Amino acid sequence: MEIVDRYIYAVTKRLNPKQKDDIEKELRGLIEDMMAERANDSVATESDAEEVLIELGDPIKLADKYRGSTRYLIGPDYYNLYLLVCKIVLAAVGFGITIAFIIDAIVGQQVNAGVAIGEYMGSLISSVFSVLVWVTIIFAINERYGDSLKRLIKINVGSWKPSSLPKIPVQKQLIKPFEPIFGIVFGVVFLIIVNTSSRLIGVYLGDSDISFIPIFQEQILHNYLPIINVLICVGIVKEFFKLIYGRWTISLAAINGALNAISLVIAIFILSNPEIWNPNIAAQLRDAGVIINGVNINFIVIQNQISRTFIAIFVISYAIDTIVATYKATKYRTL
Amino acid sequence: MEDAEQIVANLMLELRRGTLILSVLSQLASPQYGYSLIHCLEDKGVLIEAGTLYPLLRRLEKQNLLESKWEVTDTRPRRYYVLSTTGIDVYKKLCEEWNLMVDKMSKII
Repeated sequence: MEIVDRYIYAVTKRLNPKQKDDIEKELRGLIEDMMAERANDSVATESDAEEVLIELGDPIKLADKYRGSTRYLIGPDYYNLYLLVCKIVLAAVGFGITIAFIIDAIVGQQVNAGVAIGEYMGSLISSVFSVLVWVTIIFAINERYGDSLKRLIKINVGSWKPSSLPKIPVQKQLIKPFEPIFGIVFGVVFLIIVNTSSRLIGVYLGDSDISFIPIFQEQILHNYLPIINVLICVGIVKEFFKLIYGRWTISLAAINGALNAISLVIAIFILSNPEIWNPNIAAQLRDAGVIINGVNINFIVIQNQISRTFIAIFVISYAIDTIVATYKATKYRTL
Repeated sequence: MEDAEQIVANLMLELRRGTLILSVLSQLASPQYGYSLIHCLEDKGVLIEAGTLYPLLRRLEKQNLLESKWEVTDTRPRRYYVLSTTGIDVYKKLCEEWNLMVDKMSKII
């Protein structure tokens, strides 16, 4: 009977191929037995079949019982985190693209407002969707393989002992969620601007003729784009760790320190090439009337100075960040 | 709010679920296929749905408590299940535990 075939198909298509054929055969036998009993040795009718199928119940639930588990794309353990990450990332992307749009509207070449808004909406929608897809894929992979991965790197899954309970955190040790969230938003905004409108990073001068002076030499900066993206992503990952841990612990401080070290190496590598700075910046500043005529500026010296200054800033800020984190973690001695 | 009757019905379901495996193991000293097992239990006043029993038999077989083989009876191929040696052992122990539990429960209620 066709309805029976449909039911069996609905059950078995949800089962793992190894047990599928065997269960199909057994289920068919069962349904035939049940129908034969109802039909009292005469030929079973369509309504007998329907009654039997109703008694067996929803094929999805029956398949669940055979499999012994309910399957999730993103299970209850990670669902709240998933929602949180989605919200943060969506806010960051929306914010970033809007800022890029505003900057572009002020200094960009696009004169047609309709086209500009159209492009804005287009990039907003496509980025929102691609970001959601990536977040979902990552969480789904974690759902499917997370436990076996944890077992692989010897993190005990589902086992705990009272001594492993984290201490009640002291107020100062806590990381307020808005800090890392702000960091993530800022990182994503930066990522978008660097990749879409890096030529627009510069000095904006009110009302003079040349109202905009880029800081970087776009061509050179462009070559560094992949590694700059890595740098920013490392920063975003660091903020996610802070968000998940929620407090300064020794392991978080170690992760923080390691990521800072990686970031610093990348930053120094980029900044050690003085050519990334706009070589005409001095001339342009002079033309704009910011630098008084007659002051002699040796630009090569300035380039090197700017690079050195920035490297120093990076070293100091990463060092402070690492030291503060380590201090907060060791002071309260929680792993 | 659930009424008392509904709550009792739900709790009964849980109690019955706890005795299900013991009931099934008790009837499988000799080979039976799923549907004959349902009737066999039904005759003794224990109701179990086919949709629950069939997946349960699979699970018990996977845990090596049951063995199974296909046989053709009444022109139909049927999968017959029977207690394995481990199954016999487990069933005995489970019975002892059950009797202990009945003793303890009858003392407190």
